[in-house]
Amino acid sequence: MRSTVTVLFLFFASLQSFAQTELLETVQESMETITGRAKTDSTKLEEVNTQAVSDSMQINTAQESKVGEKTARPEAVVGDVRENLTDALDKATDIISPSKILTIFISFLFVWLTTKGTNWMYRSLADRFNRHRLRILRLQPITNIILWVITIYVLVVTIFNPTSDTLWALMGSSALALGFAAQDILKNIFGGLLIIFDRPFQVGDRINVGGNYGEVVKIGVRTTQINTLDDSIVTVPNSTIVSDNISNANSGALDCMVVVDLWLPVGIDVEKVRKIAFEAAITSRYLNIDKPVVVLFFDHFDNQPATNVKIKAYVLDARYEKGFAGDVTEAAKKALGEAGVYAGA
Amino acid sequence: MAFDPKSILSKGKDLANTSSKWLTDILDLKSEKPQSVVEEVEEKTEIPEAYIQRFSLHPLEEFNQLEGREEEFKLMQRAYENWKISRSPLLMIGEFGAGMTSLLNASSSIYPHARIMANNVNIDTEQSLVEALKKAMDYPEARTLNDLKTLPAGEEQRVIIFENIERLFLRKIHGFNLLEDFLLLVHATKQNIFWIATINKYSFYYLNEVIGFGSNFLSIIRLQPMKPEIIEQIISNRNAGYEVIYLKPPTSTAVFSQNLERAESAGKQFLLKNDFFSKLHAFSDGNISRAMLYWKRSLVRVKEKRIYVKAHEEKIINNLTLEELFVLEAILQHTSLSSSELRMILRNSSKGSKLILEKLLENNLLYVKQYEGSGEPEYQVNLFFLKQVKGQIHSRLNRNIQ
Repeated sequence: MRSTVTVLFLFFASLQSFAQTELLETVQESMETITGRAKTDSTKLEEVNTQAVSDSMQINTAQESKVGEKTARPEAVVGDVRENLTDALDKATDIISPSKILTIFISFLFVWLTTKGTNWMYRSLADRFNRHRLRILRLQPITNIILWVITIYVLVVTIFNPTSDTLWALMGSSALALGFAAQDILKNIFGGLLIIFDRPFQVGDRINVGGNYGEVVKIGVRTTQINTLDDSIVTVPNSTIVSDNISNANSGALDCMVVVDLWLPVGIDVEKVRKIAFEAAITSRYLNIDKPVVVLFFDHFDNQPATNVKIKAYVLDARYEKGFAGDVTEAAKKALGEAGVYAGA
Repeated sequence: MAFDPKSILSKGKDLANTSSKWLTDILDLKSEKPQSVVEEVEEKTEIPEAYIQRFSLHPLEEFNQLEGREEEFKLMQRAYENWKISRSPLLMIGEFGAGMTSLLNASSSIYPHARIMANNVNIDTEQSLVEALKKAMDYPEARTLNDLKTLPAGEEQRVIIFENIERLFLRKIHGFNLLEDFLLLVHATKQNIFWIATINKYSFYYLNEVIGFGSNFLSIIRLQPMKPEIIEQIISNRNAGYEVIYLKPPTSTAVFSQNLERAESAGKQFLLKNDFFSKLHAFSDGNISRAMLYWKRSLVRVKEKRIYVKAHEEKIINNLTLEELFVLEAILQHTSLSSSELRMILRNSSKGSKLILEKLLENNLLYVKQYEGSGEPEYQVNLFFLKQVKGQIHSRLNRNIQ
């Protein structure tokens, strides 16, 4: 919603700038017309002077007529300016008429509802075809961007129908205005576009950005939302993501590797522990049975001597990552206790 | 009795008219009557037990009764010939209801002296395994598996068929020990004994991925889905002596309904039969037991040597929770499980497991079976919903089972 409001704000800012540009252009045109007329008048004056020199008999008459023109010119100028200003105001009213504003509003509302609808559709499809969940969800931000770009383009072209000069002027002034006023927003928008097209992660991936680890639930134009393991939604500005290091646990795959750490006394029976640790992993309901399970041993002598048993296995769906780790730990701990591994150490 | 062609012709015409009228009524295509014959028939579902018995799911006993398994039969013969050279055991993989036991019974023509060990319940101790094996191996003195490994070589080459090898494991820590011990026994005695083990395809998929089970067998035969024409032939054989009348299915496409309306009586039956069998094949996926079940579910009435069948519409299951799917998967991996075994596998509380089982029973996804020698009732996946359960497990648990 925030991104939608931002886009709306930017659009109206551009629209305002566009209207100002049109108004300025109209005033400029009027001034040019007035200057042109003044020039024509002075040429005519010169012609009259020439005539006065050549015909001395008509000097008085010529002088009288010249005086008459001089007194009539300021009134014509004022009339022209008034006329041009009225034209300009009419044009400006044409550009920002209530009907056009209403059209824009309805169009935006329609697109907003459409994006909500497509998002719902993608979510439903993802639930229905869980195996292809991530492939389906990655289409969601791209569709949203395309919908908004097309709508804005169609609105500008059909409602305002700007000339190429106006378009350039609009782009220039927009860039200038946005460059100064909305630097951060722009950074985020470009960050969002980079994320969508460069794809360092996708919706459904499990990433770690700035210490926030969780599933990407939304990639917006301005921000990205992550659902953390304690079910909080963290909203991260896209510019931060682009400039930060990101670790991606599954990179578009449904499963991901989970490392379960067991800390045991140094003097354990390695063979017995390996068997228990391995079987704790292969009997877990959350295991992705198509991928291998590895058990590794590391001794640590930092503060207190201990053996770190690492069980590396793949969970069937990254969403059950912690469930898998907990299940394996629980089963291994119980079996190790029953086998007297702790007591024997 | 005098031969009168005119009267025979007239009787024939009458019969044709009656049957045509009767078929139109039965098919209820243009009838404007609020209570059609079809609806009446639906209400009066009467299937004699004698007819139902024809479609009971008992394994065949004789080789000459076996149909559609010629290829697998040849492979079994070849595996036996190979064993004489390489001494490698044989593993046979099949789906529930695919006709594995029938094939093994028929294999008595290849190995007349084979001992078949049908293991219907889980074997969880070495002692119970030894008890079962020492009879099959003719070694009554054996007390342990190590004793059985020292079986003296006899003059005669033995063949032992160990059905449902998945009954030797339980998906829990230390639950693979007995299976591994048995495999060691197989390797230790394969010089004298041609071991044939059978396993269901879901157990094989799991065991092969996690412990490389398949690598213990050089010869592996996978039971292929039966061809549609063979399934049709088997059903037709079981209907011998009856005339089958296919009724209009509860739902059909507009095109099919139009074609049906345009067709003549015989043409209608042809169309309805084709439609019925295409649905039966889609449902059964080449599994003969599922095809039989579908036929039984489609029966509407049996009367005067006529059978009325209407394509059965399957109930769609799509509201299974994750826990329920885990339970169904565990049962598929073990063929059947008791409530206490399930609790150990899923590391659940006893009450939690029971509650899930009760819910699945209520939805007919499971059924209970009490095997001889088993203290507790065993829960098994209902074959009728097997395809849908498989689909859900494939889609939601990302298992590569087909």
